[in-house]
Amino acid sequence: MEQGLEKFPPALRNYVSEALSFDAGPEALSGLRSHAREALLETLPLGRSERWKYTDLRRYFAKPTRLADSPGVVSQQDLERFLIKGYARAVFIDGFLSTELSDLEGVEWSALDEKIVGRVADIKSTGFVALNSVLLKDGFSLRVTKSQPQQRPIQLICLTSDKLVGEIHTRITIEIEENIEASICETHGAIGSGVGLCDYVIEIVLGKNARLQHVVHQQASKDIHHVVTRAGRIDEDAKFTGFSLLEGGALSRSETVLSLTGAGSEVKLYGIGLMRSRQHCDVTTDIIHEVSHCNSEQVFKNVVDGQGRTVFQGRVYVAPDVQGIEAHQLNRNLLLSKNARADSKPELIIHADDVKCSHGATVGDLDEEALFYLRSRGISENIARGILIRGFAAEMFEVLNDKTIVTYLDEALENWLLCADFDGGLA
Amino acid sequence: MLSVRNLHAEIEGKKILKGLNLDLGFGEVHAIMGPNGSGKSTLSYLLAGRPGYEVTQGEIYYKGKNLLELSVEDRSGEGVFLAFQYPVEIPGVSGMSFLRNSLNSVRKYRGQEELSAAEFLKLARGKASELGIDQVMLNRPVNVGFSGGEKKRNEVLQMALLEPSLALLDETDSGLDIDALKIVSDGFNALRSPDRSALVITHYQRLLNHIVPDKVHVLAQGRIIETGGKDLAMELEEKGYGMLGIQDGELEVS
Repeated sequence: MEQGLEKFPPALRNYVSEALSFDAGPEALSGLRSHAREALLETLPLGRSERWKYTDLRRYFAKPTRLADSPGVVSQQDLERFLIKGYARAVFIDGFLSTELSDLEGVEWSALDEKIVGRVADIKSTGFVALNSVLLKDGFSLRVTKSQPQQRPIQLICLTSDKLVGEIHTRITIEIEENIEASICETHGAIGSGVGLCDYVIEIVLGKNARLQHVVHQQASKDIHHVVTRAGRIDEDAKFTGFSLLEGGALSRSETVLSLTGAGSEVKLYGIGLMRSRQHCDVTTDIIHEVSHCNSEQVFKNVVDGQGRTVFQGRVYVAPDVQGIEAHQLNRNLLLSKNARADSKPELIIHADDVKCSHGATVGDLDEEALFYLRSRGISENIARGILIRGFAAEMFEVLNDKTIVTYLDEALENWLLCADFDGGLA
Repeated sequence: MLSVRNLHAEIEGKKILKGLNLDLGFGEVHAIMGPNGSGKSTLSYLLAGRPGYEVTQGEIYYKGKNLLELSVEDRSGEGVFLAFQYPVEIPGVSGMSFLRNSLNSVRKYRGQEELSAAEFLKLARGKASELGIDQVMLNRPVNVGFSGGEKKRNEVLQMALLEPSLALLDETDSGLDIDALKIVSDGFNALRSPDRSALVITHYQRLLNHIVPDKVHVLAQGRIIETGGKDLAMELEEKGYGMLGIQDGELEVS
């Protein structure tokens, strides 16, 4: 037996052993792969770890799997419903960049190489970074620089096809140069019903005084385990605003690790999770205040129906001796059925004095008083419930100033609600 | 219009109404006054159908229909409208979409055609400006961040749009300054007609200077203990409930 494997339960050793023997990734990343192999045994969440307390992937890893070796066929027409008008786009099908479907005119991008990959995503952190580093087959590096001042906003469209049976491991790096303002939207979707695991690692670097609006709309087919790890570094006076609308898959995890590395930097993370049937959605964040005078704010809301389950783990770390920090987080959960469940775990690790931190979590049902108010205005109970559920989620859009994005996300919310039956199953 | 017979009602086992009788004719406006805890708000909630109350005895007929058998939304369709004492804040729902949803639900119930977005906008803007309600306010989430006065005006705007036949005003005057009181009262008075009636619940006589009632009832200990003309309100204002042998506050339901 390979050294280190014995710490895993026997059923999982096969997966790890196969991952360790894989060497068909990009030639340019062979050095990264060999480092990551060593880290894999320590970081893969195959046992119990605090950061993976509520999300257990062991059953997935115990089943035989394989890597997707080529993308399925997707037509321009299939793509249409995912597009945001006016955006440039990079399209990934089953983890592979499709240059035919992409429209990257005026966008600065290149293939992955070791100078860029791994700058912010730490292979030693518990989770998927090491696994992604070992198994990744494709990806690309995106840069927004001064040389393209009139740059269109960019959409990263990551789709699974009907053909997908197996795993995809893909890396995307994003760099926003200093003083540049950019807008990027990640759209994760499915065409037909793929089966398997999607693992994306997105590395983000914001230079001094850069601005990034980073929007995510995530939806995976019901047999997909969907794990996206975002790791970022936010430099002096730079501002990162993230907004996620997550519709899950069989199991989904969105892990965001952002380091504030310069004074005046700011992170705002907002999100809505919409879960139903037996979906499991885990949102884990880790905001690291490395220096004085940088702020973070996180607000995450979940609507959970059926036997859905959501997890919110928000960690804020304030390094020793840094001063003048504000860090706030709030997680609110609306449970629509008796069997829905939400776990919320804030974690503040503070080694400094001059710090304003807050956290809050609520779990509840619809407001009966508001329901009565709407019904007393002639609105039927079923529609009134829909209005209140929608309002709970749509309130989050108020933080966005981008009308195109609000319309885009609102349409997704509307579609989710249309598929719902709020008549039954309500506690 | 409305006939309440020997109504007994309780909430969570607490008896609140204990044999209340009330007749409200078409086109009439009755004021209901009374000490705190006498059951005034309970009466309005019961008429509007708020869940949680149990009627243990008695009946309510509205336009010949057994009101207690109708759902909350059907009562609204039938023309019952409660202007809330504490209008509810609904984050994330714009005032305009709420109002349109409401009006079209009621119109549908009444067999009228639903209004298009453009028709509705024109109507709502017109009514809002009569009530001194800013356009910006209508686009904001329902009641969120509104002052007390703005909330009450918003209630009257809803009333003006839904054109109820039975309006229940639950302390609509509380939180209003004199100017707002006049605007709200004018808004109400503009709706008065021979086929519309109203119950006006208030603590203060001053509202009744603007909305002149046909009758004034005093509700205490869960039933109406005194009925008179508009002068009764003046007398109560002057002498207090003590003149009827009761004191404000002493009747808190325990």
